[in-house]
Amino acid sequence: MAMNIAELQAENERLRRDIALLSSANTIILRWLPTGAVTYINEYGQRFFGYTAEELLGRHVMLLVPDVESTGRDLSELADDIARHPQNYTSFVNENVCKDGSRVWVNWTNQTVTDRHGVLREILAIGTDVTGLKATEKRLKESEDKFSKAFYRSPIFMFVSTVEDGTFVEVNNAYCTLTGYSREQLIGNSSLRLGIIPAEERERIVSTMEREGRLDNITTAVRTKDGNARDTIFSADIVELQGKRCFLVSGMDITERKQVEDSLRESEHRLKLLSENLEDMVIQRTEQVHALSTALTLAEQRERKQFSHVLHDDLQQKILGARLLFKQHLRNHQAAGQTEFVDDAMRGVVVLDKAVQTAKALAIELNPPVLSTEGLDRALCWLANHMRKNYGLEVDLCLSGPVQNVRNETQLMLTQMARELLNNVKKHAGVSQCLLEASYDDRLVRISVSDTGRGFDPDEKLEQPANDSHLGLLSIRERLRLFGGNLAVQSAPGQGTRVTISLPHEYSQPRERQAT
Amino acid sequence: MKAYLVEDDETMRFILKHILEANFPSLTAIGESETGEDALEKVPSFGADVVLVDISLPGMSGLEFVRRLTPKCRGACILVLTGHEIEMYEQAARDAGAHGIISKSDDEGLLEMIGILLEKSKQGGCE
Repeated sequence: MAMNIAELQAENERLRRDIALLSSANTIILRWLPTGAVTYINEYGQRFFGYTAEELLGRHVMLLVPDVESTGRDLSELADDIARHPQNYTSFVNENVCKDGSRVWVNWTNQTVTDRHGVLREILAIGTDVTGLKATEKRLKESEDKFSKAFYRSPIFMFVSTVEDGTFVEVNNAYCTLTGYSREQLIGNSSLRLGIIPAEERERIVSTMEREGRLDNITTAVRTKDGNARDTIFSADIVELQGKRCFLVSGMDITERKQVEDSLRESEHRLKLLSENLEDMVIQRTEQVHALSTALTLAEQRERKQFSHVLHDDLQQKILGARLLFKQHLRNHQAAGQTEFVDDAMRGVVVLDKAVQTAKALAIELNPPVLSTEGLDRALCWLANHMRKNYGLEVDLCLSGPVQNVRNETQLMLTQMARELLNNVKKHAGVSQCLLEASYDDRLVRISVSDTGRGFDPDEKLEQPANDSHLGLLSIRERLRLFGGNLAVQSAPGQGTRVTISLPHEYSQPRERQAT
Repeated sequence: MKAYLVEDDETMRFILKHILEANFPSLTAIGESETGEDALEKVPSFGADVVLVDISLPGMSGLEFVRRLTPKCRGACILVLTGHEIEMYEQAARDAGAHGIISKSDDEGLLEMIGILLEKSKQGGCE
């Protein structure tokens, strides 16, 4: 018994020394009975919780413990549970409540004091303020939660893999969706083993990464679990994780975007081709229209010439022949003194003369015969005489250069144009005289008709013809353009008119063949 | 006396020949050609005193025929016939070497002109 008392005294002495030592430290020392009654609290503990010793001693220790922690944990039975199962609480962190109601976190080391029969007599609780640490932990956890959510739920794929062999350390949902593998299938496995990326492509990426320190916007194709290829763009950094160098990769699946871009490029290419083809077709069609128009112009001239020849060389010859024969018979009868039908015969001759005149005039209108045999010089000479004789227009002719070299269809066309210009003078100028000039130089044949008559405003009449009074000029201009020629009009109201048509020499040889 | 007709129209050739035969009995022979090319070969050997040529011929024109014939048949009188107004070709015909030009519709003038040329021919030709 004395031994036991001595042992207890020794134990108490040791505790007192310990308590005395800890009393001066920044440590809470609290002693409470299995009933919950507080039997001791050191000065630091008093300051920490805001209670005096008198206010706490004898009170239930649960005065310092909230029923429910801010984490949601139920602590209402904590004291009883510690008393019943102290072995579970040798080290325990829980939230406490101060006198002013503020919550604090304390890391408690609970030590039991038992009698020699092993009966629990007292709990010695030594606490350390961990409120700041818990707050930091909370912020860290919140941050981790945020990062975790951002990482896993991001539509951008992300993963962490080792630089050494590409073993996946972490992957997010987007990467699982991209590759078709589950998180479990990926983590611990490598992109090479799964065939997500070819070895040579990984070597290229690793090599670039080692050289550049990071990767930005690299495009590469990955092979999915079902064997399809997906186009991706990614960026990567190297991070140290659990002592290993790892790639932290984030990227996007750009397969659809690339398909749209490819499709757009293809469309643009087709559009460009179509545009080029369309341009070629327009050029080709324009050339065909030009050639056909030229052929049509020449064909029209050839037909006029043909009709004229038929009129002159056939019909007119026949009528003239009949007339000559008729007159010869008339002479024969007159010589024989047979005069009874002379008057009737003469009326027949007059009818034949009129028929000849009609045929001749029509033949000349269609194709002045001089054009068939002579050059442009003779044709213009004839035209000047024709206008004087038939229309009373005095035409002064001035020729320069070898105008006679212009022959055939070109000669006919130019003569007809000159005739239209002279007709315009007769119809619109209000004068009875004009000048017809023709020249032939190294490059061009030019014909000008000048008068001192009424004149007109070329811009008004030629660009916006209100009536057909100047359609002849427009027609000449269009025909000349077909042959690479030009029409120039100098005129003003009351100041006369000078119209010049010009045609390159090369059109002396018509381009009819181009249309065939 | 000999005359030669260069006329592509067969009817006209027949009628001209008929008129020559009817009005100029001194003519002993009248040759004919349809083209200038044919006539150019035949006329020199034929020895025509008067040559009547239509200005409008297929191929070689009447005026071109005159230009080529003149050096070959010096002395022969050449009369150009035309269905057109003679003013158009008067100077050209003279330049080519013709001794006269007459419209086919002027039958009186035609007979008169042939008569004059035949007379000239009798007197030594139209040189």
